[in-house]
Amino acid sequence: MDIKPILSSLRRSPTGAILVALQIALALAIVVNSLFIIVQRFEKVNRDPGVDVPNIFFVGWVPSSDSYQGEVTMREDLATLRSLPGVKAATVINAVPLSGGGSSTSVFTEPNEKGRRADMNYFEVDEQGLDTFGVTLTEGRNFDATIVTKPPRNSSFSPSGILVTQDVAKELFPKESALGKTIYTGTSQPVTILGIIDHMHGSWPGWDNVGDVALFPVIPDETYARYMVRAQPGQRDAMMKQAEEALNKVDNGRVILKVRSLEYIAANTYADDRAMAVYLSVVIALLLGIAALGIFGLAAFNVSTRTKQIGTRRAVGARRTDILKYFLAENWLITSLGVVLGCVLALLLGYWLSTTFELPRLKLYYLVLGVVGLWIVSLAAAFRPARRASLVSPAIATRTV
Amino acid sequence: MFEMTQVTKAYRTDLLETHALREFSLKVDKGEFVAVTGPSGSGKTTFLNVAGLLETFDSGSYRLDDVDVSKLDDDARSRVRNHKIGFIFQSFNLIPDLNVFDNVDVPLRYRRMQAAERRERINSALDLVGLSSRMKHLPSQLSGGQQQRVAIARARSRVIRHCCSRTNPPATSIR
Ligand SMILES: Nc1ncnc2c1ncn2[C@@H]1O[C@H](COP(=O)(O)OP(=O)(O)OP(=O)(O)O)[C@@H](O)[C@H]1O
Ligand SMILES: [Mg+2]
Repeated sequence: MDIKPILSSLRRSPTGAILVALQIALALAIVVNSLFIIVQRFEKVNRDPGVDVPNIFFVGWVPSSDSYQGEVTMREDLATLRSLPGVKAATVINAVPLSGGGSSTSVFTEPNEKGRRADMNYFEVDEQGLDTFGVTLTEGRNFDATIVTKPPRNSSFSPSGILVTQDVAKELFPKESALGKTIYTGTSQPVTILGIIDHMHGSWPGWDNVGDVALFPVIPDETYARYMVRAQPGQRDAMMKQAEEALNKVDNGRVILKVRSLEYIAANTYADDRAMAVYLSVVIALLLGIAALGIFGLAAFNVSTRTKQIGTRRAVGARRTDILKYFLAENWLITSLGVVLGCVLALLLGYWLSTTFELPRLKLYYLVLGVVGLWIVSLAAAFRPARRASLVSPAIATRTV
Repeated sequence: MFEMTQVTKAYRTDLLETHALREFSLKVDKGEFVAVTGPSGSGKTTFLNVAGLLETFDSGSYRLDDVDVSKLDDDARSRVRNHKIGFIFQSFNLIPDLNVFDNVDVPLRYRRMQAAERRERINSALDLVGLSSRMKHLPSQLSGGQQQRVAIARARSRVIRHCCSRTNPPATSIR
């Protein structure tokens, strides 16, 4: 295909072509970066949380009368829950994982806040905590019931031994096993690492260190305690009902507030990410649609204003395919100009997004994908007008007024 | 050799049928010069469109250099137009976005000719019509007569072999 005459013809009346090229450039820049963000969100939502999300649910409650007896009541309730045949494990817990709310603390490898440091998201659970989360230990052992304690309110109590995830273990002891090591709280109280959890996500999916989690053998204070229950596979919904009924039968000075599945809670937490992905997908579809309309409009305009020229070309020897190729090539040139500009814009936008919002830098792979995508869209959009051009009769050359 | 026998062509619209050519016959030999005259609406343009393979006809036969052109497909008709027929249109039909050189180049490009040979032909065709000095001008920058000469150069460039070969093409000026 000879592009030189197409280029010289484009240079004579460049306005429409430049506008469409700019539109393509903007579309490419936004589409590529949106796609990149969508994929990141998608990866975030689909990470393995390590926790048995589909089978876990939570029971929220508050003390309501004088017959409430703290740890005794909680132990009774847990016994009730564990006696249900469809329940695998249950624990009291201070916060809900994947919910966006929770507690964290810093620990150090040496007293007085010295040595290596790790910030970890901790959960206060009893001896069934590990099993209720559905996570496994790679090293060490679970704590037993004897060390589970309910500290007095407002004391700066630290458990004697805890479980931490491998993520925490590696941060504190990058070169050796953390098992059995003593670490120190901010108030220099010693704590032994009793076991290492393979992998689990904590309370804040948006946090970079969402996998830095510890389990403390502690009965939490009733102001934020709730029960976490893990049902046998497939029995969660039935157990949610039965658990509420069973607990309501026992009058021991507390009322059940709500029973929620972890699936529901996690979906809520990730709702923004999903909404963003959907929103950006719509933006991409709209931008591609508008770009396609612009390309179609320009091609259709060019064809209809050049019918006599097309007829003349046909008269002096152009075949239908020559005319088709002419308009597709003209459109390809315009698109390519837009794509080149768009690549520059996309990289600038990507750079700006990554520095302003601390996002990862745009991967070039997405740019290639965007370029190929826009070429296909533009080819598809220009095809009908180009085909109409190829069907112009050569007789137009003599019949037009 | 040009030979039309009993060629018929009718235009049909929803309302009526116009017989633009009715059993039209004509034979033209090599080297002959023919002018077609007639009152307005008598079918001159129709005849030339059919003769120039711009339009098809309904019945009869048309042989051009011993080829039955009614049997040719669209691509082959394009090829015949490109190789054997030169058009000088009433309104010249130059392409407004292309300069004089590129306009004369149009039919040659559809012949997939090498750039060097094209350049040679264009130069001699423009030389012949005395427009070598206007090669970079756009049609809109030319007088009517100059535009017509570009159209003549475009029609002739197809047959000019190197400088000043004198084979006469069947050039038709369609009015
Ligand atoms: N596309 C068409 N559809 C319908 N009728 C047509 C069409 N083209 C031409 N005609 C009719 O065919 C007849 C012959 O037209 P043609 O253009 O060949 O005449 P002409 O001899 O060239 O006239 P003039 O000297 O005015 O240019 C006319 O009656 C015209 O109205
Ligand atoms: Mg006429």
